[in-house]
Amino acid sequence: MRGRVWTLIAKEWADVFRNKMVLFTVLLPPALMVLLSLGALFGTGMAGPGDANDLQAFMRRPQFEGLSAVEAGQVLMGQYFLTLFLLMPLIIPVSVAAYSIVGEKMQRSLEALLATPITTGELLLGKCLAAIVPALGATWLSFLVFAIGARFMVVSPLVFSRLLSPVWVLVVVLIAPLAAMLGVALSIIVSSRVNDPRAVEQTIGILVVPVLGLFVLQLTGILALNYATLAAGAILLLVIDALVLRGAIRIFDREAILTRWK
Amino acid sequence: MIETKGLTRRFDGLVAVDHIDLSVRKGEVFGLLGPNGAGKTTTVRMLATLIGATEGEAWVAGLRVGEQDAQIRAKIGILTESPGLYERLSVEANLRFFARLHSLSPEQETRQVDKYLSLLDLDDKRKEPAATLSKGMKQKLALARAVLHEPEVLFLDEPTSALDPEAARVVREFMQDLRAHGRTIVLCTHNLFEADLLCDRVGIIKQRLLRVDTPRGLRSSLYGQKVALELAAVGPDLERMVLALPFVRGVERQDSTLVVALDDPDGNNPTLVSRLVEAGAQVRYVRPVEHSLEDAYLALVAEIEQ
Repeated sequence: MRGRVWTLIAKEWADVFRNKMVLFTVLLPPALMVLLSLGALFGTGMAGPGDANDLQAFMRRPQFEGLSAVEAGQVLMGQYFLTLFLLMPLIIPVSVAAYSIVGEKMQRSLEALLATPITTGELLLGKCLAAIVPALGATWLSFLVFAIGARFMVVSPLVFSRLLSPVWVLVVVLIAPLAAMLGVALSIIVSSRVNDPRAVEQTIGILVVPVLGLFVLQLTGILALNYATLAAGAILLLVIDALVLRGAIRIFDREAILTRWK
Repeated sequence: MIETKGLTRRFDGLVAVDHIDLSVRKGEVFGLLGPNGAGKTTTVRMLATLIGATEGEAWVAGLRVGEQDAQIRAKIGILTESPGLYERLSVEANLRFFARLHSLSPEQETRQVDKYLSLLDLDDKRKEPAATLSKGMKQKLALARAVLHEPEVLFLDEPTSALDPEAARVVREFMQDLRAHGRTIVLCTHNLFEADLLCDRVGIIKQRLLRVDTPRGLRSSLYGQKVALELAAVGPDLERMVLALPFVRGVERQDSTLVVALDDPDGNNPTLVSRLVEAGAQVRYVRPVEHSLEDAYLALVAEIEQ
């Protein structure tokens, strides 16, 4: 089983990453996120005392205890941008999965593939991993680059320890795969109905809204990220993943692919 | 090698394949002939374990369809109606991918890829992306993909449709080669010349399996066996005399030619000719009357529709 899954993943990468659009989608968001986040950190670190006074209201929150205004500003800005890192595991696998599955439909290659000894489980697993692995790789790598870069951009070691707290590391390690799984499962469902990968991307683009919502909730102080909210978020995402994946598995059946996919 | 009993498939109340009983022997090339929507592709898809049957049973290579599907897929090869290649991948990468899915060892993989690229004259294109190939070359590549793992049973769905005559000929020659090597092949085709050339037996399908016979047997059963006798002149007496012979089933006169339907032409032709000569006829030529499989097919379909 492992051999066929790996064979499929290798083929997917060889095929899909020859498409410049997919390559662009995988490479650009991480680069952009790292640059924007580090830029924001740098900018906040350069702020004068007048700008820092505007942060007084935020500084009353427990996470900023013991920090100067500029330090608090850097932690605040850094954490907002970290939220946006969650966009990557959503956007990248959608693009890869859309081009991979819709690409098979457009090339009419699915029937020959389904006539090989590969099982439906192997096929689904291979397609999912081919989309999730680059997304997680890009997310984690860019997070690592951000962490290394942040070390040099922060005004004090205290900012670094607050910014990259264990909660945030857990968010990236735990929430990112769940978000990627959601993106892939939805891509499979939408891909069964459309014949254009861009239509899949546009439809699933709606997933950006909850992440931006999270960003706004944090910005307004309504939501504070801690172990409790992280656990609640992970459980909610896990339930949604399970439901959507169930739908995707039902759709990803040999007979359904050949007779019901449009 | 292939057996079906009452194989049926319905789609939302529409009967695509209706109680088909079929038996294809090992090493046989069996043609499935029928108009569009007759159920040829659905039958092949059921036998290739791609879709399930609504009713009935089937066995392929001794394995039961619906119960041993993964094992069946390891023993079959399929050429789908469109080549369905990975256009961005090279010719070689396309084949290697399928070789690995069929669990060929690295040595077998290289040997088989080289063998079929060479056999199908694609060797100099091995590094080219599949998208750059001509239609005929794509079809040859798809055919190589189908036989790469040396399957026991091969399903070929319209292998030469949409090909130019030269490419169709190359593909046909390759199929003849496969046939010569004793491969069991189920060939779905509209091309009756191809069916006549390649198939040991053909089955006419239109939801139900209407008739199964050899191409020759099908022609004979519909038209009988006929000979045309070209004479210097034909008179009504001569026609009556021929019709009175015990082995003659019918006589038609076309100018100076008598077309005679008779039993066992090989045995009775000498008697027929000698009786005509005795009656004063001057026989110039005697030739068998051949009907094409296309004539037989169209006649049979028309008969069923009536």
